[in-house]
Amino acid sequence: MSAPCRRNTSRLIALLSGSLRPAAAERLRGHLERCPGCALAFERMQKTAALCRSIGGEPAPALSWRQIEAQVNWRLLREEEAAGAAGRGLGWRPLVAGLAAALVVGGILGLLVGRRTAPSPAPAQHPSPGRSAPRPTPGRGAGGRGDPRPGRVNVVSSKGQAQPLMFARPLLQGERVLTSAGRVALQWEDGTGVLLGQQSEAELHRLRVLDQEINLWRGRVTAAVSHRRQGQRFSIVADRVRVQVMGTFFAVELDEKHVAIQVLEGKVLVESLDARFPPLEVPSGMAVQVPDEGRTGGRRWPAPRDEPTPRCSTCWLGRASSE
Amino acid sequence: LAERVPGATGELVVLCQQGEQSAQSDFYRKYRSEVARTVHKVLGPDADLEDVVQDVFVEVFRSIDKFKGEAKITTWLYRVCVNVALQRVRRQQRRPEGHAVPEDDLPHHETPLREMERKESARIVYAILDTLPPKKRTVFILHEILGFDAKEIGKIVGANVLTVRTRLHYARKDFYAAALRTNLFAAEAKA
Repeated sequence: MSAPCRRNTSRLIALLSGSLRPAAAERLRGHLERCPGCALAFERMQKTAALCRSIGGEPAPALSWRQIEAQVNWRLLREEEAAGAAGRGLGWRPLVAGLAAALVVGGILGLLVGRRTAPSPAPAQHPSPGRSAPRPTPGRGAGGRGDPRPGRVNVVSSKGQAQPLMFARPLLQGERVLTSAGRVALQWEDGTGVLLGQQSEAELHRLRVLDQEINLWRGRVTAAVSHRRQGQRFSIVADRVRVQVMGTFFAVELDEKHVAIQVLEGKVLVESLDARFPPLEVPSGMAVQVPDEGRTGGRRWPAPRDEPTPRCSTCWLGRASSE
Repeated sequence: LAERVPGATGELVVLCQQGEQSAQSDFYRKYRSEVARTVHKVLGPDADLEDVVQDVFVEVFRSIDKFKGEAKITTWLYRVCVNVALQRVRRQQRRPEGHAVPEDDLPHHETPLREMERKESARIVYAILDTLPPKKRTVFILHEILGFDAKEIGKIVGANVLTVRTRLHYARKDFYAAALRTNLFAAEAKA
């Protein structure tokens, strides 16, 4: 390309933006007819300007609006809590918080089962959480009770207020979900699903983009975890044992004597938060049992393949409700 | 405020300022696309758009109390978008990777697909914009890409019209000089 005349670069820009006086513009146009360098430069400038305008006309790419909203809520809520702001209401934030707006998509059907049986469980007796955070306590909110009513799934806020869990209610970090005779499925926007078994209690300990952790206080959870991005973690902690996802589908069960982990697909890393045993990778098709006072990771044995597939939430929930 | 910003928008803003939960959710739904579009244009195709949109709305709800209705709510919103985006640009420019655009070293893929070429050209435009100082870059994008006039830009960036025009003049000069040095449209010209 032959270069434009040096003195004309600014004038060409002025001509392009229409800020050149008419007489000067006319002279410059005459020059463009005689000077290929300036003409080519001006043509490219015009195309570049047109390109800029076309960029401006494009719509923004589609985004995960709900996830962004949930993140905004969560950050504001955290800031508010950190600042100890008590005067102002939480506004819209509790409605759509949590990392990916963990949505309750099932479990209500399980209530029907619960209505037939009606044992009202005692308030949860938690194992030592192995961390400095306060232990979950039974609810004390207005009209709320910490222990779920027969067949009901309750959610207890981080402040101890209990209320029945509603279908499709978004969950917040720090909330505990308690089941009695029913079961409940929690669904994340990224496709991850967690099934909380009967007579179980789990706390959504962390719901962040890169770190999601559930504390199982009693009972059983089964998790079908969608593909994790690099650096993203999903884990379940039960009695100081952390089960960290390296695969996709696993179950953790906590009773008075042990923590049992079944891996149905992929693999998980089992580690002791109090260094009772070295980290242990449990591959697909294997199970591991960690005794309450054990100094080892326990024994491994083939896991029974009796869990419904998590690939289809309809099947999954169907199975849950039919039991 | 309700007097200065009449109608439904004014009511919505007032309710947001009062911390009304549904109003804040409505506000988000009403303006999220425009915020995303603005941020996308200011930062370019490679930006982590979701993160920045998130930052914008966090900032919006942190500071909506300060909105007194002197400007249109959209102007105020553009200002927040631009400020958040500028912070991001400054952070990126401080990083060691640098944003120099060596002559003829910009991505250039000849492809029969016009769409691909256009996207590639847009990428080059933003690579050139990355070489401009943040303030010049901002006025250039607001004017040349988003189509705001100098008066509106003045309100958005908090500068007088004369300052905006001066910045725009130098931004254009730098931008088009860099554009001519790159191979933007060079293949077309040869053809």
